Amino acid sequence: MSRFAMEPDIIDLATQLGLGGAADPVVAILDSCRRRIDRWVAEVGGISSIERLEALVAGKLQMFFEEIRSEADFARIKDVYAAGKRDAVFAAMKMKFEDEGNPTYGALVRRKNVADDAPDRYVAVIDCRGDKLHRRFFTRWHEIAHRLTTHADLDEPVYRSEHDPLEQMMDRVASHVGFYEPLFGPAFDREMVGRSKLTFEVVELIRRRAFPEASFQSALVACHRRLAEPAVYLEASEAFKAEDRREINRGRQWLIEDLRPVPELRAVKVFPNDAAKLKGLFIIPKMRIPESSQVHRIFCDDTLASGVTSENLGQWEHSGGKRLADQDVWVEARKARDRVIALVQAIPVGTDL
Amino acid sequence: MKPTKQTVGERIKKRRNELGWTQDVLAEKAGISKSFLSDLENGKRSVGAETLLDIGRVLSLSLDYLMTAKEPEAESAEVQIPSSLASFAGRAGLSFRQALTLLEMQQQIVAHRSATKKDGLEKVDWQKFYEAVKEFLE
Repeated sequence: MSRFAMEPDIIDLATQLGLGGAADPVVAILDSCRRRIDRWVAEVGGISSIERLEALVAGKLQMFFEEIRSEADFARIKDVYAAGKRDAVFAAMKMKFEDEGNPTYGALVRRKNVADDAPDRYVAVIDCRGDKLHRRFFTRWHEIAHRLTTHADLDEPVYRSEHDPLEQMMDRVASHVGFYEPLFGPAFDREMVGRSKLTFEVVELIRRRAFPEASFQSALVACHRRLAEPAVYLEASEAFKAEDRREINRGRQWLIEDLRPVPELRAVKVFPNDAAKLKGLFIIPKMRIPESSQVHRIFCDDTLASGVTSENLGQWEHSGGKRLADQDVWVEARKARDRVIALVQAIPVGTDL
Repeated sequence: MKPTKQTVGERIKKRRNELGWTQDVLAEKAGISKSFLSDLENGKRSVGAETLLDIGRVLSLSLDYLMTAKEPEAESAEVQIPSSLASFAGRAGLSFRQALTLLEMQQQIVAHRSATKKDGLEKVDWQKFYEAVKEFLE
C-alpha cells in the first residue's frame, strides 16, 4: 500500500463511505465512485460524450455550476441567488475568491431555502478567470468528487489547501471519473495504434477529440496512467530542499548569507504509472533536476518552449549522493507557467537510440 | 465532553490500530524512534507537548484529546460560535442571532479549495464577510 493510502484522512474517508478494512482505501474509494457513475450511465442506456456525462452526474448529485469569467459574474450571482433566492452567502463570493495571496479555484455551496430534491441544491462556483481557466474542466470534476464522496453532507465547512490529503484524493477521484474509462479508453487506444510511445502530440489529439474542455496537463496525466509501459509524469519547479523549507517555515535566520538556502529546480510532483511501479522506474520526489536533463534545459532556456530527447536516469543524483537506476528514458517536456511538465518513459533495452 | 479512562499511550495505540499502522510507520511519520513509541504506548515513558503535537498531527487527533482524554459528545445541541466570530460580533455590536446567521452562511460553503491552508472557521475574516452580506441580513 502506498504512503498516501495510509494517511489517516484517507482511511477515515474510506470508513465513512462504508469501505473500512479495504486492502487499499484509495483504490476502494475510486472504485466506489466509479460504480456509482456506472449505475447512472446504465440507467440512461449509455453515454456518448464527456459533456453529457458531466450533465448526468451533476444532475444526480443535485449540482449546478456557476462560472466566474469576469467581475460581472459576481454581480450576477449575487443578484440571482442572494437577492433573488434569499441566499445571502452568495453575496460573499467575490470576497471568497479574491482572498489576496490565497487563490481560490472553486467553492461548493449548499443552498438554503430550497427543496431537498431541488436539482440545484448544491451550487459549485468555479473561478475561470486568467490562469485558472485552464483548470476549469478539472475543478468542475473536483467539485463533483466532493459530492460523490458525500463530503458535502458534512456540517462543517471544509477549508483545505490543494496539498491536503483529502484534496489530493478528490483530485484522484476527479481524474478517475472525469476521464471516464468507457469514453477515454477507446479514444486512447485509437490514437495509440502502431505507436511505441506516448507523445505530447498524441495527448493533444486525444484531448481535442474526446475531452475538448480538459487541459493538456490533465489529459497528459490521464494518458500516462493508462499507458501499459512504464512512465512517470513529472512537474519541475524551483523549490527548497525539504529540511531547508522546514527551517524557513520555523523562521530560522541565516547570519552568513552564503549559507542561506537557495531554491533549485526540483521534481515537485512525481506520478509513476502502474507499470512504472511494477518495473521500478522511479524518480525521487523533490530531488534536484540535473543540468544535463532536458527538463532543466527547457526550464532555463527562454528560447525553448518544449522538446524531446533521450537521456539516462543514472545522471540524476540525489543530494545524499545516490543516483537513480541506470535506465535510458525518453523525456518530453514543455513549459507550463512557473514550471516544466514532463513525461519520462522507459526505453526498452535494445532500442536503437 | 466525555472523559475516558485510557492513558495517553493507550489512546495513541488505539488510533494507530484503527489506521492499521505498525509502530514503525507511526514512528517514522512522527519523527520519533520506535522504541520510544513502544515505551510511550506501554506507559513506560512520558512525552513532551511538542512530540505529542507531532504524534497528534500525523494521527489526526487533537492535543486536547490526547492529553485530557476528553472526546467531543456525539450529539450536542449547543451551538459553538467560533471565538473569532464572537469577538467580531462583540466589536460590531451584532446580536447573537445575527452572529448565528453569519455562522450558518459560512457553513453553507461545504467545500472550498484554495492554494494554501486555512484553519476553518476561526480564520474567516468575519469583518469582510459581514460587509459582503449585511444588506441581506434580516
